[in-house]
Amino acid sequence: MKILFVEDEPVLMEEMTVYFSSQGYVCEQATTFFQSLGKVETYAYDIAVLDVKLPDGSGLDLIPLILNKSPETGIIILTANNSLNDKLEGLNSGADDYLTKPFYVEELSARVNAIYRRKTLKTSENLKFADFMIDPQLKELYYKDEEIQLTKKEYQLLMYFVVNKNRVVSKSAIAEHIWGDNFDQADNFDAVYVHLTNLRKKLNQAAQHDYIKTVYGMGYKFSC
Amino acid sequence: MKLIVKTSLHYLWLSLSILLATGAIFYLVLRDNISSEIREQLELQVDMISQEVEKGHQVIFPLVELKELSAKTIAPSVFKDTLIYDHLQDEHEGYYYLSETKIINNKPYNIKVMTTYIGWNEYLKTISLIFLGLTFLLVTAGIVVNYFISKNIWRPFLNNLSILKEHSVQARTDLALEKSDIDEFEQLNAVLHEYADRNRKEYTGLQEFTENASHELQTPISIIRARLEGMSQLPLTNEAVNYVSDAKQALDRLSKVNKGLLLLAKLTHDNFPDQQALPVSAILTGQIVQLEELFESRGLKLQQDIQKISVKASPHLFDILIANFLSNILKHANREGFVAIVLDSDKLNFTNEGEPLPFAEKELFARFKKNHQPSAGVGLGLSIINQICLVHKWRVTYQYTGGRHNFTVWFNNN
Repeated sequence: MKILFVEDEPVLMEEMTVYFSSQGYVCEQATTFFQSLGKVETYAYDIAVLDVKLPDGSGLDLIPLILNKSPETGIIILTANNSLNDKLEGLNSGADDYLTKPFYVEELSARVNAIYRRKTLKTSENLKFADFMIDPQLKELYYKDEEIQLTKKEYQLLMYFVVNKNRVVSKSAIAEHIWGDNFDQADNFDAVYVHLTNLRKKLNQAAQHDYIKTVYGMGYKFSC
Repeated sequence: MKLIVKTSLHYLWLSLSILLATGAIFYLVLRDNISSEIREQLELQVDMISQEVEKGHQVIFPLVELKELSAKTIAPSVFKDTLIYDHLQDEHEGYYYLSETKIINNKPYNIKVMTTYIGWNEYLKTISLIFLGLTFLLVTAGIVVNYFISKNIWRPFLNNLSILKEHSVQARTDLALEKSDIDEFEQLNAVLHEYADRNRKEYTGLQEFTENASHELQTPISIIRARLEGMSQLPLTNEAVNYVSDAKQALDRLSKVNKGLLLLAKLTHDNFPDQQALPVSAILTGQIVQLEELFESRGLKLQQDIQKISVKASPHLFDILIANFLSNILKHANREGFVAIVLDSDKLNFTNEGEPLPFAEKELFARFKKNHQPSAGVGLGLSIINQICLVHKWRVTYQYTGGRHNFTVWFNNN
């Protein structure tokens, strides 16, 4: 999968590209509107992650150009300004999703994956890890063709881990993913723990292997 | 004291004293005039009697005393009042008498003539009554005139007063005051307009400052978060883990406060063009379902009475509104406590059992007002709720009765 990141802040750019490269994506970078113009006119990307506020223009203005070149490209806008107008304008001009800074790179990864599956793959391609198989269309989990019943939140949690495998994810990031950022995440840590324990137990029962490790003081890490 | 009462009172005292003074003067002047008229009349009578005596006629009249004196001393004439018994009315009545000594045909006579006093008391009573009536009429007329004046002349002033009472520095509309043809009121209006404009400018400036400051903070917060998450991926000593974990928690809090402030600033001046007929019941139920296990884990007994209705609102803001209310309940409801959520076409109501507020009720919606429990949030939730209601012209009320906190959003502002 090929992703274009347009972001003028070097640290955030580094964080995103390092993480997405480690997950096996091909990452392209542009730090200005002008630089992005050259890229979007030449290449087609699967996903474009656009910062709204660029030193020489607005990321929103790139959307029509990108869609003109390749209508299949999934677009996510990033804004520091939690402004409804930006959001509406972005979504109206063809963006698929919207993230407000500060965001977790794992959340961005989850969104990128969801859009990629929906837009680029179109047909539902099942996700596989070890002997497990996830059907994203039906939101079901199978172990060697046998269905494992998951609650809605356990499924959300599993998907989050699968797209962020080998990454230590914090409880706050998980809570924000499941309950949205309107809640005070600290309230939900207990609930995160409960869902996580249940999910762990179900995976363990099927495969006799603990895929989710607790990382002391930091959160959880899924690996397979 | 109302202006009309004050002016009426002044008017009343003034009219009373003027009328008392004029009444007294009137009475005194009248008495003086009548006395001198009576004296003239009595003098004439004495003169006519003395003429009769001179002609040698017998003088026998009622109320006339004629005495022949022995000594030839001429006493000065006396004009006085006296009491005479009136056997018809069976009472003593006041009379004037004039007693004069005259030498007629070389004999000294004392002539005393009397005439009735015509009841000065009656005069006094009549005059007082007339003046009292006059006072009453004047005061009533004054009050009536004042009342009409206040109805017409003061009306714009009073209307403007109620407009000002309703006007808030956060209002999006200009201060629209009623015009008046009275210069003083127009001056007041001009000053008020200027004052409101200046206030609004300062307020907007402050909001813009908050927004810009929060906005500028978002990028550094993002960078710190990215770096802390990056650090979390490294193998760290337990000591380092604690440092990073504390820093992350504090950053989460900072990020929360900052987002809240940014939202509040936006709520005060942004337009929310996405307002539409919103299936609020679906949104509410959806969010409750999302939080089900959080309610369960706290043992909260949730009672719902949610009717399928839609309300004109911004979906973005309504989500935040509900999330804040639910968050508030999860934070502050007693464990195992009772919680009720009611939605109908008039109102949205959240009730939960909980400890009384540790601060005054009117400060409830103020920023950063919170109790100092470790579980307390950043203290912006209720001000955000309040501001969202303002944007939609809804009214939000709070009550604490029977150990239950009760928040209600009224969709119809009346």
